Amino acid sequence: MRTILFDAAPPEDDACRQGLDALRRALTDEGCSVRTFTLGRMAISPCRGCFACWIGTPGRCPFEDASREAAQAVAGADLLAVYSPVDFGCWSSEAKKALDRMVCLVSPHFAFSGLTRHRPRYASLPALLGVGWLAEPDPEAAGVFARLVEHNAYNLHAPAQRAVLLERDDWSRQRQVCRSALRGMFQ
Amino acid sequence: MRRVLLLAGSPRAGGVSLMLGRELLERMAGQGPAMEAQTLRVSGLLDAQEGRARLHAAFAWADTVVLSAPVYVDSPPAQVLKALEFLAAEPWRGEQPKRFCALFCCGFPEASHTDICLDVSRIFARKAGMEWAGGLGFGGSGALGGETLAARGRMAAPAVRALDLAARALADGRPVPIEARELAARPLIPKPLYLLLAESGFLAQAWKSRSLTRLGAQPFAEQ
Repeated sequence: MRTILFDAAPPEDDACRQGLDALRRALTDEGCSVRTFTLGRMAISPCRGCFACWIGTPGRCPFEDASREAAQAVAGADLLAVYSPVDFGCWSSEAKKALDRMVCLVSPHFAFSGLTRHRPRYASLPALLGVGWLAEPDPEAAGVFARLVEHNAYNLHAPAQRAVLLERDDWSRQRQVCRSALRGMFQ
Repeated sequence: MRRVLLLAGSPRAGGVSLMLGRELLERMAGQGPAMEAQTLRVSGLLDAQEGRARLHAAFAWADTVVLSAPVYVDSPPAQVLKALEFLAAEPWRGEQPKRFCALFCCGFPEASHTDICLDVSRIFARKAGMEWAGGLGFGGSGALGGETLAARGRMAAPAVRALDLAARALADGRPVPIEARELAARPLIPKPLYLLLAESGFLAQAWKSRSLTRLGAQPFAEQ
């Protein structure tokens, strides 16, 4: 399974990076071929909200930076796994910077049924696995994060989605949690 | 003297969210004791030390902070999250807790698309040691575009009333009332009409940009 991993783990946070390592291992355990985008090392500008990727140069952002390669990779993947610290129930700003730029993968046209969203630009877009790192237990943030991943998947037309939260734990248990989520997605 | 900081989260200078934030501040200024206000746009602010110092100083100065921002991919834009991360790193616990209020607007007709942003704002307030003063979520922001709400006439009446109620509550030291949130969430025009107008708007822009026949382009499709 072609998998794109957005790694937004801060390089200095060892506990957070342990979760990333567990996720990586779980992905390979489940037979995924993983291409990792280490977002902290990539020059990605924040989305300007100009809609040029819908109107001016449909399907691609006119501002050339590393997000273009990431969007191209996501468009051709079976699974997008995003790993990020979860501070306020949301992706970190590092992860969000890349996710905001993925808006070029959907069309400006609206889908008219159900809760409004845009139509997909491509025949298929990847499933979404959102893995958040919570430094301290926070049930309120956990609930918001689960809803966020669900909404992201809905708007990105992901055929399957799971939200997983990792906390300070044994590495092998973190890996098992990620494996279970992956299996649940594709059953 | 009340001191209110408007944090403008849109990367676009003339965005609807900034207009809504300004409208709220104008109404707050008309209520209660004298009020000083300042506005900071978060876009690019944290890229330099000077900007970080400005944000820090403005935040320390204010007793009430209003965040106004658009919804990007179901949550606050990356630049807003960066500012919240920066501010939460230093919990703000004074004699009087600072109050934090948020306004979010979304281009989809349903205001429910702003719910996650408001939840994120509430959790930020808790983590930063601030008092959550509630928030408003506006759907159909395409219908609110313009210099002022007054320019939109009767159509914007629920939004005007929502801001009036929110401003009064904030001036009285109360959280934004449920009634204001419900009014803000009220569709300004029927959903099918809104979607038709929004779709027409995209098509008109595409016509001008000579991209009408390429709107469905798939530049990353596998060969």
